[in-house]
Amino acid sequence: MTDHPRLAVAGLTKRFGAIQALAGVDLHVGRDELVVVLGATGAGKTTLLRTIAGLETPDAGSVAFDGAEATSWNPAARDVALMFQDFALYPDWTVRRNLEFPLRAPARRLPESEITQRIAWVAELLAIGHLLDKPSTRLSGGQMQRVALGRALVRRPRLFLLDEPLTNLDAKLRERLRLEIAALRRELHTPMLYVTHDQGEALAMADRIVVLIAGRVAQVGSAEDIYDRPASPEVARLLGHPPINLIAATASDGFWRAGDGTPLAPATATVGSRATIGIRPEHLAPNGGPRPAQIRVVQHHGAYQVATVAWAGGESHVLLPPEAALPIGTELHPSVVQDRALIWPG
Amino acid sequence: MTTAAAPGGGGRSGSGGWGAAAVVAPALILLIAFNVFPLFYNLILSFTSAELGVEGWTWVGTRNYQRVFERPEYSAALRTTALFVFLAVVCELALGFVLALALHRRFAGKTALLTALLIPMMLPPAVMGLYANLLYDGDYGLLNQIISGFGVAPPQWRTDPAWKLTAVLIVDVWMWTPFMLLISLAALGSVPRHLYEAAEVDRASAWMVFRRITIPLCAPLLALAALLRTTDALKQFDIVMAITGPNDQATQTVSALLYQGLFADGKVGRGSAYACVVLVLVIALATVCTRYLDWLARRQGRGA
Repeated sequence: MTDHPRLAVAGLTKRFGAIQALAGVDLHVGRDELVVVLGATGAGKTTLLRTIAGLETPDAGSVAFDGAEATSWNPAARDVALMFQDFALYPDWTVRRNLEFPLRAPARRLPESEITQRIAWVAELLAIGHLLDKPSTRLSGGQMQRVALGRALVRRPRLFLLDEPLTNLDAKLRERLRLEIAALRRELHTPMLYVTHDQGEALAMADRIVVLIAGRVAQVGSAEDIYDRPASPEVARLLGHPPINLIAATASDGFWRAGDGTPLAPATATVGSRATIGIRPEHLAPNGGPRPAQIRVVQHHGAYQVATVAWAGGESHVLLPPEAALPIGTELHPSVVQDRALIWPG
Repeated sequence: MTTAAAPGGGGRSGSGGWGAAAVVAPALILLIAFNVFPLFYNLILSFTSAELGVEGWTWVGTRNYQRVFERPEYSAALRTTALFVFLAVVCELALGFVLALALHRRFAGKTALLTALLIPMMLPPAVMGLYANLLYDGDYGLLNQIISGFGVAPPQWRTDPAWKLTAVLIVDVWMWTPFMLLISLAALGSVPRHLYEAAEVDRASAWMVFRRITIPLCAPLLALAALLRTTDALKQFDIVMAITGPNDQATQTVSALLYQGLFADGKVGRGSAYACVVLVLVIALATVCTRYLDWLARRQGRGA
């Protein structure tokens, strides 16, 4: 075994007219790894997958598989399975024929029994057994998505590239398939590059998360790394529910203070320097702070409640215990849990 | 939209009804004068002894129809037409589709080339036929000069019975292949690009992609084009007239025979009977074709 990663992408750059889709992306996927690329819509996630699959030619940068330079290889030679975001099912064909198509490619020459077995396996996995003989154009969005996922999973490729594979499914099925897919790559010993805008999927499944913002890798790390130590306010905003509180602050009297003077965190910086302070809602205790904050909205989430309060010159989210019955207008005194404020100078 | 919203619709007032009638009348009168009346007049004539230049006619019952079914030239013309239509449509479709596959990409001068290819389609068939005569000329024609250049004895296109129908066919193919090319280009353009991409990633061979994706997705539009060409080729007359004249056994299509019988021989009664028989055949064929198109449309609709 060599120690080359299954996939290594370096300096990948792609521009479509005025749009810079990828701006120097570096990325690698190990032999048994599930890497999730997390990014908002338009961050370049799909372009990244298409370039790795060989459907787009990069303007600059390289793609290598197992250490072999592959930037100029055609898609078939790369032997990756790509699940398309828009499904790209073959119309007029039954689900079964759609699933069989990649297995009947001449490069593979699989015996008929193996094909039957794999179709049965993937149909069971994705709960589409009852759809096998339906034409693909008569399926619902969620069913099409499962068939498209199935068409990728029946293969035994070098690498799975999955583009938002679970977005159209109902919550229960999505939950189950997250676990199944994560388990699958261990079973098949095939790495996956999984693209999503859903932080829940990223946190639940990823060995490593690659955060993509505007065509650039903003941060790479484990779920904990990225949640606890986000590299920038933009990364911090992508993860966490309810979203992180971001407050512009200035250093004075040994504290980072919000615009209205509310102290947020101890500051060692010179007086007058500026920073963005990030405080996760769970790190903002409802009481014990110096300044009052009126509750404006309360949302019940079962295990906890989220209160939106007027605090530090803006609105912030505070977590409350589920049994707290606080009417709108109640005054809290939020305080930041010690050492849990994130500080990005600048 | 509701019918009540249409001006003069619903017939709520007498003037509205008359208004509507006034709008429809010109088209209706023309339709009756040039379609309905001739159809019935033709039907009546087919049971008479009417001849051009002969005063008066008498009822002859089904004698004209008996003649049509007995005389060999009538069934021969049907066979000639069927053969011609089949060969013309198949050649044009195949050639047009293959050309479209070759041209289905961006390249410099594509528009100019397509325009040039379309010129024959825009010329009147009679002109094309006369033009072709120059090319087909046994001694001086460009075509035979080229063929002799290869050291092969060139055929006598316009006089050798074995080649006459081919000569007509070539002109028809020359004219209508560009039509099939255009439709084929549209069909190829309508195949979603992501299907080709999916197939590429799935490692399908070029042949698999062509047979399983390109052909099935182009088929409905190509079928429609073939139907249009079939109905048009059934009426083949102009090119035959220009190259061999209407009374040549080798190229006598149904239209040519009708022309010959009615206007040259003056046999109005028998010609009308033949026209009725052909009409019934065409209606039968058209019914089958429209059923097929309906079926295609339903299949597509179900898909959408």
